Amino acid sequence: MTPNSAPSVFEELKESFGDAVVGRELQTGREAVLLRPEALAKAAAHLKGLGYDFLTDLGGADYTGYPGHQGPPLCVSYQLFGSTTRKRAWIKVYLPMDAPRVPSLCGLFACANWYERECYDLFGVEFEGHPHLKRLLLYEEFQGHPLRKDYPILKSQPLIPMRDPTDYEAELVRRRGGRA
Amino acid sequence: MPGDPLGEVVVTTKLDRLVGWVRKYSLFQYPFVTACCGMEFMAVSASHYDTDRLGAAFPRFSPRQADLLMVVGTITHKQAPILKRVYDQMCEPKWVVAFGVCATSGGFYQNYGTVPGIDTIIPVDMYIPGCPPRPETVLDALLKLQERIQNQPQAVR
Repeated sequence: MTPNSAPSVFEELKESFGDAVVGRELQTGREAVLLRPEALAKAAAHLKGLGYDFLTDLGGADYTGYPGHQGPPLCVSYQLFGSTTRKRAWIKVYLPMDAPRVPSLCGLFACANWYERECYDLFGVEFEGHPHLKRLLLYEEFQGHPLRKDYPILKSQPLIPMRDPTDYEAELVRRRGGRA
Repeated sequence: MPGDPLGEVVVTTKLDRLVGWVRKYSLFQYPFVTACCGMEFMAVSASHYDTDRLGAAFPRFSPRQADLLMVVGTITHKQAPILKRVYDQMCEPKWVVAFGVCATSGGFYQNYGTVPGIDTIIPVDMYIPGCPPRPETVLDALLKLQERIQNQPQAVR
């Protein structure tokens, strides 16, 4: 935990960005600072100036139906680490389901490139200013974003026609070397 | 047969049996390794268990030289066209082994990305359950596959 003498990440950001810092969440003993999406790029640059020079993780989440959750459901979560200060910062932005947009951090942290592509792939978050925002894990033909709660949980999108493995007659013919 | 001058040097058999005997001891496999089962596959192929001593698993890294396709690991829908193409590139006769529970049925993955068993893509001759399978299970499956190859009709005429 942060010692009382040093200002917390929340306090540091609140001082510089005021209303763009919309709140904080305490989860698993750590504090997440909630930001408005439009303030994210400047806040991240500010934190980088304070020594948080390493984006260790960027992840998405869909809080639709999450107990106690209020407001927009999609979330992008940033974990920053100071390689010399050895301190961590946790930033969260909440986005609406339709047209979720957040500024890209690629210019600030080069490693954000693939994180943001993955998050776009699975959650459909548009990272504005990303140099190459296309799917990272799934194939181009895939429709939708499968880690969103509104994606049907068992829906798959095969690229080639699937055969019927229970067609035992055809299987027997095949095992006889094609002889009926 | 007593008094048979050729008894010691001539063995009579059927062509199907002979071809089956040859084929079952010269299985060249193509390892299609996609996931963690690959570690287990390396263990069973290497000298400790050594599938090749059964004449049953000499790895070839070209599908055109292989007649046994070992599908080792999870197959995703993104990967499925590649697997189908590799299978199509193999010459007849060919056999397919689904190694591990993911290749067999999709395993515990039941979602947007995973093929629910490779038999929805290509025909499978032998399923090896387990996550990952024990080496003994793999050896047992290969012996059973050899038995099937021995006994199946051989399309040689």
